[in-house]
Amino acid sequence: MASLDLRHVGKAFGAAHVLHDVGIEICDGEFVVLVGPSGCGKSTLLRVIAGLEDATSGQVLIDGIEVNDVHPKDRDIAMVFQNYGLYPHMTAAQNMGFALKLQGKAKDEIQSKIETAAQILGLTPLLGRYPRQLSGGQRQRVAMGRAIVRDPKLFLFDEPLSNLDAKLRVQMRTEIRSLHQKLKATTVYVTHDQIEAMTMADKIVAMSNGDVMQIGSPLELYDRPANTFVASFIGSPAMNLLKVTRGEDKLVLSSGQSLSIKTPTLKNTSSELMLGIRPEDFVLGDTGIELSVETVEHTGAETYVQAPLGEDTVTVLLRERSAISPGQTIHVAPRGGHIHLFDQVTGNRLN
Amino acid sequence: MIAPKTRKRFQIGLIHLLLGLWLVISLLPPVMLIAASLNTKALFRSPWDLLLLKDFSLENYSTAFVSGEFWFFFTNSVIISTASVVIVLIICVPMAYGLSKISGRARNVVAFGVLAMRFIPYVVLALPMFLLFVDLGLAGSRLGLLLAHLAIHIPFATWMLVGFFDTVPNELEESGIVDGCSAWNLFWNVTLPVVRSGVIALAILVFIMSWNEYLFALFLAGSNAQPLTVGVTRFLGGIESGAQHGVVAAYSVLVITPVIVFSLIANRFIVSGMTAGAVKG
Repeated sequence: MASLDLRHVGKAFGAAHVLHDVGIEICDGEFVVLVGPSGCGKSTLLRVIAGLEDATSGQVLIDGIEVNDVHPKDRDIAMVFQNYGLYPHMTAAQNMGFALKLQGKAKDEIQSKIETAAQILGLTPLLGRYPRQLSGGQRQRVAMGRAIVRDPKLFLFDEPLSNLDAKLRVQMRTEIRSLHQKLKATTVYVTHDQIEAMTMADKIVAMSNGDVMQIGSPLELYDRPANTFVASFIGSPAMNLLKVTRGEDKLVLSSGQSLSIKTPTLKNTSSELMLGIRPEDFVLGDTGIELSVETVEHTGAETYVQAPLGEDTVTVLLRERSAISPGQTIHVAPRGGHIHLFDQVTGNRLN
Repeated sequence: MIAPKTRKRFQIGLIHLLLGLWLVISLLPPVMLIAASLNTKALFRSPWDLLLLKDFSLENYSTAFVSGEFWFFFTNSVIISTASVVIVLIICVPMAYGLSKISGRARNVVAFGVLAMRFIPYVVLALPMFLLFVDLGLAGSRLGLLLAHLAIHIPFATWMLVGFFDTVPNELEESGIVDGCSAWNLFWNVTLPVVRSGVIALAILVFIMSWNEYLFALFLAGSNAQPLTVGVTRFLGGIESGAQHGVVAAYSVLVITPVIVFSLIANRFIVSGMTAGAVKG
């Protein structure tokens, strides 16, 4: 196991800069998830860590040793690819043992390692099968087994679950997580799915357009998003972001309504702000923001209410069953203190 | 009203009938060839008599072997075809692997080169080659004929193989890299096994092309390097002597047998759907 340190890593393909000055420290045994929309550079960053792409600038350190010029095969990392990348001409067992065979390990040792890994992953009866005889979930497990037998310094996962159906995805999510509990291996996991990030990570790195937007534990990102990108990306349904003007002890919404909130002392003096309220942080009441309900969606456990407000749409999440119907007028107010304020121009958090 | 079941059965019957007819049409020429080779006086018998082996005899075969010098031509054919396959594989497989890894101009140049070669009728190449080979002392030698074959096979085979290598997903090689493969391991243990079926199919194709090649052999082989395709012509005779059709038929059977045997053997190594399951399709 090992620590991973990325210092000022940049990557450009010709004139296209896909990573800017990325700095991440990952401790021994940590499960870190790189999350962001497609094209944000998260997969490229993973490939830079693996050595499949060269960093244009900056340093990649594994266990404190710079590996920028170390060939991927000598970095002692294992990677699980989105499309599995299994060798079609080898059985599951041969796939898993291939790396060890290349290292010149003894046959008995390889065999016992394969068996141990197969046991952990529940692959024992499938070891003699070829990839084409396996289902998607089984293939993904073989790909993980191939990583486990290596006992590498780093595990890298590149969107490993995105080819699986929804149910299997949830199941594999738990499996990967419990696998990590067992092996305590330093892991970097790439996904575009914020739920995966929230449920699996010790630490989330939220990325956008090649920049790291925030690094922190899942709940830190959820409770105190550092900017509007993280605020809107993490959490489902997404946080409501409303343009407001700051007045004395109140915030004036774009619709002209005002919310009497004691704004805490803020870092800047601009009066044009962005107010963020999570859908579940609204409470129904007699006062507060007046909304004319447009749609009501019931999921059984929760009720989503959507309503236009000025140029924005507000989503309210109610935990209790309610008889609200479209066309009705309701009043909602943010639960005490659960508001996020951002700069309208930079998008950075202010409170 | 006809019951749907009866109608379905009728349709299937009709399809089988048509397929059967097609089978007869396709198999008739080789069957007639074999029948003719087993009868004396092939030309002047009715097809029916031929098929019933009215004048059964193996004389045609003995003539082919004895006065036809079968083994001499056979040896030439085997050497040239086998050498073509071996050399094409040794040269083209690594070359195609390399080409499939690069993009842009070099690939386009090769593609154009191959296409350009295909535009030229071989008869245009045969005479210049003969003149060159005379100067080089290669005319009438097996080596010369082999070189002529390679000149045609190599660009063609390389381009076919590039197509096969291109189908190997990038992730497979990246898996190999992360697993610790050297460049050689990557080629030999990861990529080549995946395209194995294609390579074998190509080997069969090259063998058959070499085996059946006639024009270059006619121009370049002289009398020392003639393969079977040229050898058979000596029984077509002149206007006076007339063709010995029975012997030609026997000879032809002998010519196609090795190709069929080779294909059957090689075919066993072709595993269909080799790439299935490598990556999400």
